[in-house]
Amino acid sequence: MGGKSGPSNNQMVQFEMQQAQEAKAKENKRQARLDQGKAAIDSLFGKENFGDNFYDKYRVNELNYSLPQLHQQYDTAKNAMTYDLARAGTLRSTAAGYAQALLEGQNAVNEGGIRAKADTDTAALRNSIASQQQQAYNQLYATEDPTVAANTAANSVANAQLTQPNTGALGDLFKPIAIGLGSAIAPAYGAQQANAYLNAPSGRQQGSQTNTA
Amino acid sequence: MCDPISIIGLGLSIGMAAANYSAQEEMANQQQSANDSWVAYQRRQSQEFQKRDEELRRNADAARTAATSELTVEKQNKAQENEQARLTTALTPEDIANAAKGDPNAIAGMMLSGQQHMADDVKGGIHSRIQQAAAEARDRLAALAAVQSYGGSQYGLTNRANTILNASGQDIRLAGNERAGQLAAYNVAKAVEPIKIAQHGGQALGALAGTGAQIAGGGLGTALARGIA
Repeated sequence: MGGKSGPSNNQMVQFEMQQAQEAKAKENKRQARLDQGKAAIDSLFGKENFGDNFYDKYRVNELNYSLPQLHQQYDTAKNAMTYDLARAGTLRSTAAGYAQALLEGQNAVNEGGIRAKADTDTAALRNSIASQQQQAYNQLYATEDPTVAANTAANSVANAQLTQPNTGALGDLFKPIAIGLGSAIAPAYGAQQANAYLNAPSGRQQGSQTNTA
Repeated sequence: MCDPISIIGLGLSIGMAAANYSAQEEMANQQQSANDSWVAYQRRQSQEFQKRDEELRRNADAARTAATSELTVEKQNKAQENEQARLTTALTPEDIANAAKGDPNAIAGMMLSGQQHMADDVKGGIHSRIQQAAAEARDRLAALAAVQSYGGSQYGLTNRANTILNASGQDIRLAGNERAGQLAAYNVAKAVEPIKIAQHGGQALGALAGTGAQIAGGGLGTALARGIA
């Protein structure tokens, strides 16, 4: 007896094979997009864009903010020291050389500290940009793989924070150098003299003395 | 030669076998039809899933590329400069800005009482020093504005980048969540199996055909035994 054979599952097998082929093609496209996206991010955040010029601008501005304050304090301390030495009559002495060396040493250390801070802060800026790059990568992978999207979104809350430099006043950077007994008591003496002058009775009051000379 | 019982058994056997074959052919046709429906259903589900998944992926990719396009060095530099300009104005007191420009009224306002009536050359020297100090303060404040504009200020670079990345991250998360849901639904659809057609009564028909053949065989055997005897 002829007639039809049993039900064919060729169509089902072909469908499964087609599905496998489509999945493979889709995966190839996905990998190509990942490669392309990563290359674009690498280029975007690469040295040709975010190079030393970008970061130097930040470092120089921080120094432009902090160093003038140091220089001003240095000038003030140097002037005060010069006047104190002159008042003590020791401007041309070994003690003057010692005091001057001490001041210069403090100045150098302070300037070094400020420059080191600016450099560290610039490194923080680099980290901040690197964090942006990392987030861009995460978003690329999340776009191409929905299962990581939720994790990426959760992580993006803990995103880049730039540690800002201390923008307040630097405080007293130079320790006062006591020069001579005169300089040590000068403020108190000056205050006493000023009070004596202000408290002196005026000429129009009774009992005042008039200079007739 | 052959007894009627054997003939009936033979007829029954042939008839039941034919009925059984017909039933199996019908079952095969129904199974083929069920298989075709299953393939069509799976193909439709697959196409719908792929289309929707690609739409959502494109949404996520659009959010991502929009974010990265805002993070180019040109745009970040521009944003930093704009923020620096805003902060310079915001941080610099107006009288300092005016004094730095040499505004005599602003400088006069900073002089000590009594200094207004000094000799002009002395007053000019004080003016000059005040203006210079104001200019230095203005420059320092501009540097401070530049430093702040990279980070923690309202529209500073870091805050700006975080805002951009957070916004795109939310869009990507939404698309990702929807894609995950689509995938889960598609996996359920993929698990649907084709209908399996069963032949009802096929065993009974087969049994009847067997019984008929047994009867026919039995009668034929008896007749042959008689003939031999």
